[in-house]
Amino acid sequence: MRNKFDEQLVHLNTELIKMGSLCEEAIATTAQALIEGNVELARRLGDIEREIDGKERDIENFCLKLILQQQPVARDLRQISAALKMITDLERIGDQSQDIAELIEYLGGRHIDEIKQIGDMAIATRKMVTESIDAFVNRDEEMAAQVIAHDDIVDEIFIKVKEQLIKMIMGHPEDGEYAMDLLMIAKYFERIGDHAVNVGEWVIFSITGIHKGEREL
Amino acid sequence: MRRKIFWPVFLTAAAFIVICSAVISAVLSAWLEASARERLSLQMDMLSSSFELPENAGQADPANDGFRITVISAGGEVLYDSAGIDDDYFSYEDVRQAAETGSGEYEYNTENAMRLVICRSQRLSDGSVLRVCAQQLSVWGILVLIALPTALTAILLALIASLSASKAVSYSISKKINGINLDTPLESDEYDEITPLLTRIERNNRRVRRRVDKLKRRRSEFYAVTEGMTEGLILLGKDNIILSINKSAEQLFDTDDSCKGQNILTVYRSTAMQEIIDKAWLGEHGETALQISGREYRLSASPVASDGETTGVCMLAFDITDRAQAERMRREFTANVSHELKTPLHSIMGTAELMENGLVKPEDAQHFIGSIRREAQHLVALVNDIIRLSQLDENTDFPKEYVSLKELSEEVVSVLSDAAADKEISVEISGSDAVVFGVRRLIYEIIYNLCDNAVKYNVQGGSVKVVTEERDGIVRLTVSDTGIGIPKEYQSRIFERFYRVDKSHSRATGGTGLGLSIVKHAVEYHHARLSMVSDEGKGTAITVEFPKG
Repeated sequence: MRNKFDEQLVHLNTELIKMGSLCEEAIATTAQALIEGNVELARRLGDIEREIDGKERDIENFCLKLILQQQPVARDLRQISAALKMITDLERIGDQSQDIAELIEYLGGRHIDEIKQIGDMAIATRKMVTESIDAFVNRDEEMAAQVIAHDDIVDEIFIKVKEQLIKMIMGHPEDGEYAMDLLMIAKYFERIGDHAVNVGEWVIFSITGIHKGEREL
Repeated sequence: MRRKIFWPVFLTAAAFIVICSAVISAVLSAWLEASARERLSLQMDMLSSSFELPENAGQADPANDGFRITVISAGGEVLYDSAGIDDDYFSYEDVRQAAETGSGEYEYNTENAMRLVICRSQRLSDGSVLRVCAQQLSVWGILVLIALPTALTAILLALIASLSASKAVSYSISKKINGINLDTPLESDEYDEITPLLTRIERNNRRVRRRVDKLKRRRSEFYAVTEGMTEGLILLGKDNIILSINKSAEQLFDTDDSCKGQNILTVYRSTAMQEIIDKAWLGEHGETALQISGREYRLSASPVASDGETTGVCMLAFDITDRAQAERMRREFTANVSHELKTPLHSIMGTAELMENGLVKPEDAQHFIGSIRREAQHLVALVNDIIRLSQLDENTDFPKEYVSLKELSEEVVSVLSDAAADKEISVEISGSDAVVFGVRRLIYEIIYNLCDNAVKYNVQGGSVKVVTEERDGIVRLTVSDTGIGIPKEYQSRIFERFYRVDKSHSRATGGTGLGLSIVKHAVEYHHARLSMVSDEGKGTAITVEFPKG
C-alpha cells in the first residue's frame, strides 16, 4: 500500500517538473520573442499554454485522488497541498506569458530597443522562473529563498521601465498606444515574477512546513 | 523441519503404544481367563465335596467368595442361589448337561461384552445340581477399562515428548546447518548426509563467481569506453530513471554521480528532450538540438529493446558547436564569394552596356574602359585570392626553402611604394636578417597582406614599421602602423573570410576581404603564431612568430 503511495508521490513530482519545464519554455519563448521582435515565435505560446492548462487539470485531479484514496498526513499532505498551490501559480505564469505573447503580436515586430530594460526584465523573470523550478526539483531551500529575494530586482526594473515609458509618452504622444502595450508587458513580467516567488514559498513550505505568513506571526 | 521430525516420532510412539496395549490386553485376558477357570474348578471341588458331606446336606450357606453359587434340585427347584435369583436353571446348557452326564460347562459374555461369565455345573450324589459361575474381564473389557485409558495417557505423554524432542533435534540440526560457511561449504563436516548438497553449492558458487567476474569485466569495459567518450551518454530505465551517465554527460548537464536513480527531469528539463524520450519509448529514434551554456549539442534518443519490448532509452549528446560554426562559415563564404564576384561583374556589365548603346561620348570612352579594366583586375585579384586560399585549405605541399624575412619585406615595400607615396606614408624596415625555413610565396603573401593593410588602413602622412628579428629560437615579424585601428569587438573576427570592419570603406580601398584570411592560413601552414595589438584610432601592430627551423 505504502509502496504504491510512494510511487504516486514520485509520479506527482515528475508531473510537476514537467509542468515547470513547460512554464520555463513559455517564459523563455516569450522573452526571446520580445527581444527579437519575433511574432512567429510569439504565436507558438498558444500551444504551450494549452499544454500547461492540461497539465494543471491532470495534476489537480491526481492530487485530489491522492488525498481521497491515501488520506495522507504530515509531510505527504504538505507535499500534496504545496503541489496543489504551486500548479495554480505555474498556470498563471503560463497564462501571463501568453498574454505577453499576444501583446508582442500586437506590437507587430516593432523592436523594443527604446526600452531595453523590458528585455532585462524578461531575462530576469525567466531566471526567476527557472530558479524556482530548480529549487523545487532539488528541494533547495536556499535557492527558493534566493528567488524570493530576486523579486526586488524585477520590481525595481519595473519602476524604471515605468518612468521611461512616461518620458516616452511625454516626448512622443503619438507612441502612446505602443507605450501602453509595453507597460502592460512589463506589468505581466512583474506578475510572473510574483508567481515565481509564490512557487518559491511553496517549495519552502513543502520542505520545512512553514509558510511565509506563519513566519511573520 | 520441526513438524517433519515431530510426526514420524509421534506416530511411531503412538503405534507402538497401541500395539503394546493390544498385545498386553490379549495376553492378560488369556491369563486371567485361565486363572479364573482354575479358581472355578477349585471352588467347585471344594463346594461339591462340602455338599457331599452328610452334615452339610441341604445346607445352604457356602462361602461364595466372589462366585455365584446355585444349587438346583433334581426337580428343577432352586435350593440355593447366592444372588437370590429364582430361575429356570434347566434351560441353561451346563445344568442340563450336568443332570444328564454328571458335569457341564457353559460360558457367555455379559450384555456389554465387558465381562466373560464361566459357569460350571456338577451333579451331586443326591441328584441335585451344583452350579458355580465366575465372572472375569473379557479381552474387550481389559482393552476398554484398563488398556485404553493407559494408552491414551501414554499417547498424550508421547505427544508432549515428541514435541519437545522434535524442537530440540530440529534446533540442533538447523543450528549446525545454518552455521555452515556457504563460501567454503566443503570445509564443514557436521553431517555426512548433506555433503552432496554442499558439493552442489560449491559448484554453484564457482559458477556464480565466474559469471560475476565476467559481468565485472564487461562493466569495466563499458565504463572504460563510455567514460573516455567525448559524447555524453545517458541510459534511462523505467520511468526515465537514469541508470548510467558518463563523465561527458555529467559535465554537459552540470551534475554528478548522485543523479543516478533519479528522474532525468531532475537533471535537465527541456521539453524538446522530453519529446524525443517519449518518442524513443514508443520505439522510434528521435533527435533534437540543444543549446547549453553557449554551446550547441545534438541530442539523439534511441530505444533500447530486448525481446521486442522497449526496456530503456539510450541518449547521446554530440557537441556540434564547431561543426555548426564551420557550416555557418562555409555558408557565409559561399554567399560572400558570390556577392564579391557579382559586384565587379555588374559594374563591368553596366559600363559595357552604356558603351554598347552609344551612350558614352568618344572622349569619355577612355575613362569607362579604364573602369572596366579596374573592375576586371579586381576580379582577377579576387579569384587569385580564392585559389590561394583553397590551395591552403587543401594543405598542398609547397617546396620549402630558407627565406630571409628582411629581404622579402624590402621586396614587398618596393611593390607598395607607390601606394604608400600616394598617402605620404613613410615605410621603415629594421632588424636582422631573420631567416626561416618555409614557403617563399606564402611568406611573401603574409608580409604583403600585412603591409598592404598597414598602408591601406593608414591615415594620410602616417607611418608603417616592419621589424624582423630573431631571438630565443623564434623568428619574429612585426608590422605596425599608425592607422585607424580595429575596435575591440571586431578583433576576433578580422581573420574570417570576407569579414570587414567598415563595410562602406572597404570597396574604396580595393581589398578583396580575403587578405587576412590568407595570412592566417599561411601562418598556420608554417606552424607560426599570430598575435595582434590594436587601439582604435591609434594603430595596429600584428606580430607573426615563426619557430626556427
